[in-house]
Amino acid sequence: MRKRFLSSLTAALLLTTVLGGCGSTAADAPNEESAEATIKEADTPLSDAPSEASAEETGAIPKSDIYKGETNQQTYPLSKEKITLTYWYPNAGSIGTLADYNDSEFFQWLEEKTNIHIEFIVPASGEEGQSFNNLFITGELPDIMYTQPKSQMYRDGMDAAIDDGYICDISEHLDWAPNYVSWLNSIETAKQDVFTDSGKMYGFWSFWDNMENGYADQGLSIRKDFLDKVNMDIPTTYDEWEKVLTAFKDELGIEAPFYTSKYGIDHGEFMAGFGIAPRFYQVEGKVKFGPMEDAYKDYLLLLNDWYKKGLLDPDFATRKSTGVAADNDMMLNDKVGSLVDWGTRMTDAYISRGATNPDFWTVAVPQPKKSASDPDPAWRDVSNNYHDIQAVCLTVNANSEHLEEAIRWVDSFYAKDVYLNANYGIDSEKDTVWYEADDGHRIGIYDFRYSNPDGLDSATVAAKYWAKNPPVRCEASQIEQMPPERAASYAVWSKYAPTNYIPVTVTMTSDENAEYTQYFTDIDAYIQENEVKFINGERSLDEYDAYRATLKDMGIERCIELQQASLDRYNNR
Amino acid sequence: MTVITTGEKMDSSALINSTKKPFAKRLKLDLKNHWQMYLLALPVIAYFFIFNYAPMFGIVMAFEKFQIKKGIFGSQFVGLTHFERFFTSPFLWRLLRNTLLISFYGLLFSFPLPIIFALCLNEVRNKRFKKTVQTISYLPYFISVVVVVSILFDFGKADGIITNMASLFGWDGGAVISSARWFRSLYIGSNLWQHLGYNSIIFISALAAVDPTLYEAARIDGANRWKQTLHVTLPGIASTIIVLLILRLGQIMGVGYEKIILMYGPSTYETADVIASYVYRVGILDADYSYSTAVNLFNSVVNMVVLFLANFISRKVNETSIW
Repeated sequence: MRKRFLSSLTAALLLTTVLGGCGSTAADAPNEESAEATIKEADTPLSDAPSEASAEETGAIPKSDIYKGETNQQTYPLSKEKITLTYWYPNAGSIGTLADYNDSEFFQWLEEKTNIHIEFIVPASGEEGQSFNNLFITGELPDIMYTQPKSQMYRDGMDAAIDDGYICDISEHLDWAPNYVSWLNSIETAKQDVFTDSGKMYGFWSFWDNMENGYADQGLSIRKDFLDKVNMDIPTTYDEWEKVLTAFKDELGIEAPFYTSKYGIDHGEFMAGFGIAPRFYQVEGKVKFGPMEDAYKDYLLLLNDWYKKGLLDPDFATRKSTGVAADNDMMLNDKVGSLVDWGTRMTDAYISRGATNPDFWTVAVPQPKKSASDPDPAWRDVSNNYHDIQAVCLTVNANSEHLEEAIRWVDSFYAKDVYLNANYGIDSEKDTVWYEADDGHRIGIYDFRYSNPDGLDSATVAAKYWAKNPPVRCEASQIEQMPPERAASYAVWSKYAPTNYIPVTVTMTSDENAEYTQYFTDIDAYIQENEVKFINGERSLDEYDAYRATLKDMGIERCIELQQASLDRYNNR
Repeated sequence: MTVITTGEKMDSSALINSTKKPFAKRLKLDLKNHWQMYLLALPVIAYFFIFNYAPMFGIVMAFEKFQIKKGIFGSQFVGLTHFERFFTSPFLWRLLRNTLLISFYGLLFSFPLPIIFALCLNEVRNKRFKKTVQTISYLPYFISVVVVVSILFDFGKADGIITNMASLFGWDGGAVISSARWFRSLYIGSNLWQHLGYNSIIFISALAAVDPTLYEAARIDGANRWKQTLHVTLPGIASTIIVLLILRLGQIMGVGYEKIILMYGPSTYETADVIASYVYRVGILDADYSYSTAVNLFNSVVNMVVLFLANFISRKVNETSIW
């Protein structure tokens, strides 16, 4: 209760300053009148207090207090003396040809503004998870970490990382993060996502600016020029797909009419029409596990049939990665008919990457259904995006020498001037890197990015002129810069509400997490292995029941229970 | 006619002579007389102590529920829980089987072939030809394993050269690189290709050390080239072969994970997943440090037992051993 009171007080302090309209920080003395005034207007945590108290007694998780505010509430420079913060930034794949992220115009601008120098620690591509674990073991935690809690997580869960004193609980320092607080207040669903079950905040989450329902930046795509050649329309049902793929195979001799990654399973875009998902998903709050469902067997039967008919990539069993990143060569040489691809690679984008065929044209396609009259699948790949938040957050080292500066630095990204510069290029690059639309919002200049006058490739342009994956992303306006055909892809994919998705911010307790990984590590390996065998026919699907029995022996039911428990807690947040 | 190097015998007799004085006294005396030698050995001893013996303390983790915050000293002691988990794991037998089989087949092919290769090369009279062949044969050794594996992936895909060759002989299972049945052959075959020349170097140098007068004597006795190889050359390098064999047996459970994790995939887990790759997955990727330590400890213990056994048998059978 004491802590509750303190945080209420802190929040009240914060409010006062906001209402006072001054840009300075919470150091100002509280102004009782205005505080009271806002409490009535805002989410009124104080009037909630009695019910929260009773909630605490019954063991439920109390809701935290957040206040509405405005952006641009930091005072610059953030530090009088020049200080250096270390920033673990696992974006090796996005750096293009730059040597260091400090060569980015944006980060140079930000350094000047904040008087904080950032030393980027960039782990090698593919070793991010390992490198993340090592930060804790060696005890050399950087001041700020870019964290993807799905793939990089403190062994006992992020809550434990706070309890163990590694990661800063930001909810105790919200007065240093006024811009972030404003964001949280402007989004209804955010509170549920940013607080853990025990009411802590381990990170500054990434948001989409001005996006309803998140958005999908990847999805199913098909070669439109192939479709035209065989005189067919975009397929919408599995039967139509089979006809199209067969035509690709027989008439055009395409080696991989349907290219699947992740050992044949992709992210579930293609199976969603069966009402299932690759691993855990939820149906109205109830956790289910794809491979345990009958429909999953049906889906594998379909893939097995297609594999036998030569409609799948014959080398699917070695394809780990998403899309064709690992095998661009196949794509560029007309060996792939359809696949899951990124929006930035749609339409003719492959021609600039070296595709030999001048007619190269891919378009986004809807997720297939069993019959045209079925409802739309309640699933799409949201491994990156859920609601308005992305599965990425910035965590701060609790023992940082410059804790306040680190928090303020991260918070500055939620201020409009900073995030606009981070997304489009800095102010002084107006009309070179970006231009202003009639209604005042920024749009990137397409030619500058994709046919750069200095001959830079698009990845290097992004790294050099703006911040790769800043905490606030303005993807919506970035789509605007694209040619209309490519921009249209996003609408096709984003149509599906990912209601069956289990949110990325669902958290397990450290005990649950230990028990879960003990089972699931082995289970996951076993499933991957058998799915490949079921598809290529090495194992008959008649044995599917025996396979499910093995999964039960391996503890899958306990894993579902644990997932259910954490989802229930999330829903009660 | 057998020739056995007498180095070991001399050593052991020297030891027997000096056992009369207690160890401490002998050490002191020896230190005084040969301190330069000890000084020279010091860095090596320090190396083994620091990098091989000191980290062994970490084995404690196998008996704890290790938590980073609490550290090795503070984590909760859980006894044999992790070992129980491994012994009841559905993957136990498969991991053991794969580890042993890959090692065993590796030994079966990649141990004798460098010897045969060295013997063949030894018979070549043309110096220039011999040097050229030798150089070419060990060039693949310097290719990074990552490159070797990507070559395998390219050759082993559905329309790759190895798959095509296999289909000439009736194979119809698709890409060999993603077939569990082909994994061991590809793994060992590529190892052999890469290491054959390099591994033969030690035998070639051992062959150079065989006394030429022995060949002369054998020729006078009427031995042809084959007989010479059988009765002079092979016995001449027998002790080298046996010591290397025992050392290889000491690594029988130590199939390196690097090449395996580059090569394997879900479709080949069945024959490819070994203890080392499992430990890598669980320990490094999932950060389950205690469990992976326990699995690795078990692996090391089995390994040591094999090493002792091999050494013991060798000592009984032909009086050559590594200690």
